[in-house]
Amino acid sequence: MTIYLPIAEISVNMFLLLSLGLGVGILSGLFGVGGGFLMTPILIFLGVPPAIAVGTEANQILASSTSGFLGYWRRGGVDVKMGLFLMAGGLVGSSFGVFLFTLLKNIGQIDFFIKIVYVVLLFAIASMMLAEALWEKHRAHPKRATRRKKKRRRNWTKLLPFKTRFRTSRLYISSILPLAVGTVVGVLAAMLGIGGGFVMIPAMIYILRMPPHTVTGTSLFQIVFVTANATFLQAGFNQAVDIVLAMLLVAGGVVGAQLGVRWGTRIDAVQFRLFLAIIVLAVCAGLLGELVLEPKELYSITQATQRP
Amino acid sequence: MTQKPQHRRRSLAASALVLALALFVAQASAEERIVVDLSRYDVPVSTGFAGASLLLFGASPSSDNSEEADILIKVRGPLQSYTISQKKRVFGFWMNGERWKISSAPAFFQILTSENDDNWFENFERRRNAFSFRDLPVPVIRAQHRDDDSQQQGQPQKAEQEEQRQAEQHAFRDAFLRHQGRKGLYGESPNSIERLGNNLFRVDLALPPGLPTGTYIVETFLVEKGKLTSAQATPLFVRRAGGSAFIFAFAERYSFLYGFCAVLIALFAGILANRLFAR
Repeated sequence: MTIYLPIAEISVNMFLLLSLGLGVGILSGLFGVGGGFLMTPILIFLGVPPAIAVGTEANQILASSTSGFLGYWRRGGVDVKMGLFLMAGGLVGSSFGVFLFTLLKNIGQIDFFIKIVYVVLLFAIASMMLAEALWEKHRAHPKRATRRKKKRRRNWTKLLPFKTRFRTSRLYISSILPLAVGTVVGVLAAMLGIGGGFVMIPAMIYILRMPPHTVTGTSLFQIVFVTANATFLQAGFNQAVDIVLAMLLVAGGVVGAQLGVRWGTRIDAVQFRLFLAIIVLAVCAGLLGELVLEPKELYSITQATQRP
Repeated sequence: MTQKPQHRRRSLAASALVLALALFVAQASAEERIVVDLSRYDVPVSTGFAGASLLLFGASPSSDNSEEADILIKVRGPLQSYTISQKKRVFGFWMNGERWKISSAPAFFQILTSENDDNWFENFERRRNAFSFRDLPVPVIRAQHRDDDSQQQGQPQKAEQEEQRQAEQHAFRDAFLRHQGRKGLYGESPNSIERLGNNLFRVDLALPPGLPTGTYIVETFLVEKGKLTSAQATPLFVRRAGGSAFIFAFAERYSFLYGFCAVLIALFAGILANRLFAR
């Protein structure tokens, strides 16, 4: 059954969208990633204009991260104070991101920008996953199972001013750090249609040095606010949010995430990470192809928005 | 799925109308040489719109030389403005380069004729009345200002630049016409008008998916011996219908309120999902 998406202005098979949401939902349940970085390029392949893919993804991630956040909230896995600092940065970053986005859209380069940044981003993610999966395989070998030497780097973050105490995470660090991390992730989230968890979680672990039990919940807390802000501004300034598309993806996504979490305990994580890395690489190659291969039609036509 | 029988029913009704019309035409005044009607005046474009077919039918009262009388139907959509971007290679990547603008061009333009022969109509009349999308006045101008635009005339060495500018203009214009043709929005269907007896005619007009909304004009011309002798115009309304129309209008007119609602809906969906699956 085809459905006409009112904002994207294309007709797409409804079940294709539902199963797409389901598939990416399963992956996000398995790996604990949001899946925005996969969904946005796939929507572009389907013919959704890149700008609308980004705006709509912000809306979808808002729904899925709200659901995830509530789960962590009940278990006490959210450092609210840290979350508020990250959020403050995130609101600034995502507003700036939408501003840049609108600017690029007006000079006609937003599609190119989204594609090229995704190529770089997906390549980085895929190589990190491959490296991690291969490393774990290597370590799993019984003979080689040696303790990793812990590198003691000089911690430059200790030198920053405006130190604040974060009780839930048992940290006493400069408040500039969470603000900066939040801002960078906010810009990425608004411009690329991602939650930014895969950037923020490593940053929280390695730069902020937060304890593992508060990392995911707190990052979800920030993502809820950042994607809400991005959705609001993208809809307001760029008319880039397709609520019908977002809700279809959400419907498939929540079911998929549940399945993913349930299957997560039963599968070989290393094998599966390799598999995901290959998917990400394939998507990356597809986008690169769109950029490098000579297009069949060199001219593209956009219609000025129709006043009904 | 339900479209086909509905369509057939509509065709039947249309045929009945044609008959009624024929009786009516028989009594019509002599000045009214051609009469045309549509199977419907209102085309709703809803969520499931996958294109439609519109029946145009009418009568041209037979004159002594009805053999030589030809019918031409021009369907013109609302005027729209467009931006055309040309991709060019920059460091191995294809990105948008030059942009040209069309301030106004019909969003839809189809010509249906009863005659196949290209020469039946005087070229002059053809041009003047824009009886082909190729003759449409489509003003294409460069979106960004460039130095050589302001100093077109004057020095002889500029003539070459002017020539190049015109060549570019043509390339962008052609790209636009090609694009519209590919989407089924622009086109010509010679010999598509079907004659039913001496003075009745009918033709199906294909309306593609993604049909632009707005007020269309259906103009019917009677051509005798290469001369226009009669014309009639009928409006046709293409409008968004159903939920998608509401969402589109809402997102356009009250974009921030729409954004706020999108946030609320997503929050609600997230809470609902959490409630459903949390144990």
